[in-house]
Amino acid sequence: MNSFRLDMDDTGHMTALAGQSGTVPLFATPFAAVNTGADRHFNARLASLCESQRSDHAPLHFRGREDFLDLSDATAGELKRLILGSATTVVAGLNSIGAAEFGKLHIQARGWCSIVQRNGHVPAQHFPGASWLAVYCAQAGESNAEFKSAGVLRLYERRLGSIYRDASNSELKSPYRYGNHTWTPVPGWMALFPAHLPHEVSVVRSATSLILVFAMIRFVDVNAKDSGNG
Amino acid sequence: MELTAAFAVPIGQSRLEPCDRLNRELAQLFLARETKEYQNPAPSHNPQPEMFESRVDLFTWPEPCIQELRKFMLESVFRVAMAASETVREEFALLSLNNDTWFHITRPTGYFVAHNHALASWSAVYCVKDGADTAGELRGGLLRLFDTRAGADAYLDLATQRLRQPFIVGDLDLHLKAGQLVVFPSYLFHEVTPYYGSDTRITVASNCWFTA
Repeated sequence: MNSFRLDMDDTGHMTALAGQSGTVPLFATPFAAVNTGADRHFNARLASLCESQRSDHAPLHFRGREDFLDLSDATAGELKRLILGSATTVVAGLNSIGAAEFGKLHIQARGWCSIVQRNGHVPAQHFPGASWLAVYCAQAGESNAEFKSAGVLRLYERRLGSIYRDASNSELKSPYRYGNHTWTPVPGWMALFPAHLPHEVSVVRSATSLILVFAMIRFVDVNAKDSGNG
Repeated sequence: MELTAAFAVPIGQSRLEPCDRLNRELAQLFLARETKEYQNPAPSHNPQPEMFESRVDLFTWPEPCIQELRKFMLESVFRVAMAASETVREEFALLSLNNDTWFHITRPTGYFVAHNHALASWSAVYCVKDGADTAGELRGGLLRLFDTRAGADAYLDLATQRLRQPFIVGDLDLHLKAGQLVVFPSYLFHEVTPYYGSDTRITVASNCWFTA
C-alpha cells in the first residue's frame, strides 16, 4: 500500500492518514468481557436470589421478571451497581464524549435472571429500545468433555458477504474472521455488547445450572429534547 | 402512494405427496448408515453428539429412494431459482445444477448452530421425519431463518412496532413436517433449534449452485 490520499468518511472523520499505510477494522462491533471483581460469596448469594424467583414448575430455561435489578434485596442492589459501573466504564471508554460529560448521563436499566438447566438453552434474541446488553454470570458448571461450545454466549455473525470465500478469506484472523463469536460465562465476569446484536446461550451440558443476569441498558442525556420539529 | 416490498428474500416451500413410503425407506437407509464410514469427515461446525451429519455426496448414492428424493429436491430448487429470476426458462434449461447434499439425524437436545453456506446460491431442506410425538406435537427442532435486516428494529416507535407482512422485522420459524421442503438463498443465516422430542428428527439438506 502506498496511498497518499486522505480518506474521509461521510461525517468528515479521517479514516487513514496521508502517507501512512495500515489496516483497520472498519464497522467494528464492541464486545467487552469484564471481570467485575465479585467474589464467590457474592455470586453464591446472587445465585440463591435467582433460584428463589424460580417457580416450582421450572422449565429448562427459566426467565425471571424484568425488575430484578430493582428488587429491595441488598444483593440485587449490589449487582446493579456492579453491572452499571462496569458498563459505564466500558462505554465511556468507547466514546468521544469527555469523561465529565459522560458522567452526567443518566443510566436506565432493566434486568432479569436466567436459570438454564442441563439441556436447556436461551433461544436467539436481541433487544430493541436499548443501546447495550450486559450479561453477568453468577454460576456456571463444567461441561462434559464430549460437548464443545456448551453453555456459551454466542453472538451471531450477520455479514452476508461472508458467502463468497476463496483461499485468502477463509482463514482470516481476528478481528477480520467471519463466524459467530462465543464467550464462555465465568462467575463474576460480565459481557457487554450492543443490544441489537442477535445472540443465544447454547445448550447447557453441565450438571450445575448456568445462572445469568441480563440487563438492557441505555444512557440518557436529560437535557436533550425528546420531541421533533413537528 | 405505491407501497412496494423491496429487498425481498425468495423462500420456496412445497410438499412431496405421497411421501410416507419414500420417507420410510430413507429413514431406514439413513439409520443403517449412521456410522463412521458415512459421517462427514470435515464438518464445518463443532459436531454435537446428538446430531449425526453424513458426507455431502448423498445424491451420488444409487439407491432408488435417494434418486427419487434427488429428483424432487433439485427440480424444486430449479423451479424456485427460475421463479425468482429474470433469466428466461430456455436459458435456465441449459444450466447445470451442482449440489452438496447430506442428511442429519437429530436425537433429543441436538441442534445446529446459526450459519450460512458459502459458495452456494440456493439451499434446500427436506424433512424425512419431523420427530413429532405420538400426539403430533412438535417439540423444538425448528428451522429458523434469520431476518437479513439485523438491527433494523433496534429503534421502534408506536408506528413501527406492529408492521405487517412483508415489512415486519423478525425471524421466520419453520416447523417442518415430514415431506415438506423449503428452498432459500444460501446467504440466509439459519439454525436448527434444540430438538426436545423423544424420537429422532431426520432431514436432508442440499447446497446448490448453477454453472453453464
